Amino acid sequence: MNWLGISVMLYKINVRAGMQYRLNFILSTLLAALVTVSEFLGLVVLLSVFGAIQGWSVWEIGYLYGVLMTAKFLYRAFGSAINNFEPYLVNGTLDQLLLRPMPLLLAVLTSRTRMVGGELLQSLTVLGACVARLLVHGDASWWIVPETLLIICTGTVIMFAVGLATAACGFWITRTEDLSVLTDNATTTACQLPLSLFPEWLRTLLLAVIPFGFINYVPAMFIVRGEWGVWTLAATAAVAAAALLIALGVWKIGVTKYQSTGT
Amino acid sequence: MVIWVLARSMYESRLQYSASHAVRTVASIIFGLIYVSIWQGIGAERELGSYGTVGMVSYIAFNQVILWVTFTSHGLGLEERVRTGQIALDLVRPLHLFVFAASREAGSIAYNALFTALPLYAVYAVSFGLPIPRELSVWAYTAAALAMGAYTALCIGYAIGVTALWTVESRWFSLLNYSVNFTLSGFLMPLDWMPGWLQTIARVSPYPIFNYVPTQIYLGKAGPSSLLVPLVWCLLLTLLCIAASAAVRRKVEVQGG
Repeated sequence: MNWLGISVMLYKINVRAGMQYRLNFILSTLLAALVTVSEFLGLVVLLSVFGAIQGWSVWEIGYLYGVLMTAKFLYRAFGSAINNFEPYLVNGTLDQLLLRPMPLLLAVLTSRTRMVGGELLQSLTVLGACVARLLVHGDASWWIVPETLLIICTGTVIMFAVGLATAACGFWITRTEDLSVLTDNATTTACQLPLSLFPEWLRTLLLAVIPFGFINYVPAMFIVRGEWGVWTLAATAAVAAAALLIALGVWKIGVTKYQSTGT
Repeated sequence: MVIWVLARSMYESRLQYSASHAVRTVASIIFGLIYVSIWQGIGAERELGSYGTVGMVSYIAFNQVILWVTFTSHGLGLEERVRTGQIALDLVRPLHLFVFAASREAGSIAYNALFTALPLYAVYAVSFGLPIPRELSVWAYTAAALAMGAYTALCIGYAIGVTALWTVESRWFSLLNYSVNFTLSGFLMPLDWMPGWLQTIARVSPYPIFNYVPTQIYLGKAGPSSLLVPLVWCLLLTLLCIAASAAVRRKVEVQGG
């Protein structure tokens, strides 16, 4: 069995283990969907009161949200352990994974699986509704479908890369939860709206340092706004690849600095 | 005395991770800047009612500051105690479980207030010109509102924490609480601007005490009468916590060890 086969098997085991507590499983799936709907409500209320923001229609902003959240939930589906890496360092759980005869990153990734069905359904519904509306009103061509699929993939890679780099920082500072608030939560919140809304320094941060702007805003400037060229898609793919390589490099160095902190 | 010792021990344990805390403060400052930027962007295109752009910036900035006074850890840490079986020992202590969990968390809130809320207040006062009230009464009423907000957060956190006795994991209740809080507390936008149906839901919920009520008082847009509803909520939630504790005693089953 190759690494992919082993990973799939471990993911299945995690899912089955999670389903052993049935009430908890059903509740968590329902509540996860409710949480995302409730979070989206904040944006909906804002848009319902003010309508278009800086020339971006409600549907275009909905598209930004849909792409961003779909990428986020896909990343959370397979990268849940990376997204919540701090306990591995604080409790010493990583020691056990280091003993497994498989690459450490793969061992970490397959050690935990999060069910994201409810959340994905919500983000895909928003995305689907916005794409349909843009198509019906002639604001976008059918190319929007493959282009959106592409940027969901690159967006997931960018999310994973930033999450991995954040987790790797834990090898030096141990506690990464607060750093993750900055690199994940704050950036996700900002990117739900057009970056043009923000001051220069924040735009630079979201394009050059933590490149979440490339998950939705940059490609959307071509796909739904038609203001920038097709080069944005190539640039998005290049940024995703570069971010992944850098994150893997940081992780590799970080692992050599690991000191067990467990009991 | 026991309450003080528990709160102090939690406060001191929080002091251990200063680097992580510095990152949190920076993250919180940036979060606030993001929300402020959103309103500055919206305010550049249209009027923002009785608040105006400057007023909305103050509203959002103060909300971000006080967020940390009503921020509690997930379920007051009770889920982990259920999972490890520690909850059985907690119930044996000669101290009510709610008082025990709330006292510990109060130390954490005090730490957040001193090392996150206060620096944020200073930064926003300088960068956004956050107004500083001159009347002592405004400070007193704001402090009372914040104290009730913190207590309400402790009660809700406790109620969520004890659900772990039934569901094993109560994390999702916490996340739902945070996300509902985000909208209904008036954190992102004053309740007056919300659609009627949402305003009604918000006003009959305890959430406005976390942001809307203290910020309105601080900005001089509301008086002490606005503290009456939060006071009722504090009493109701206390009764809920006492009832939940009684149910916990009948339900507890030790796991792990």
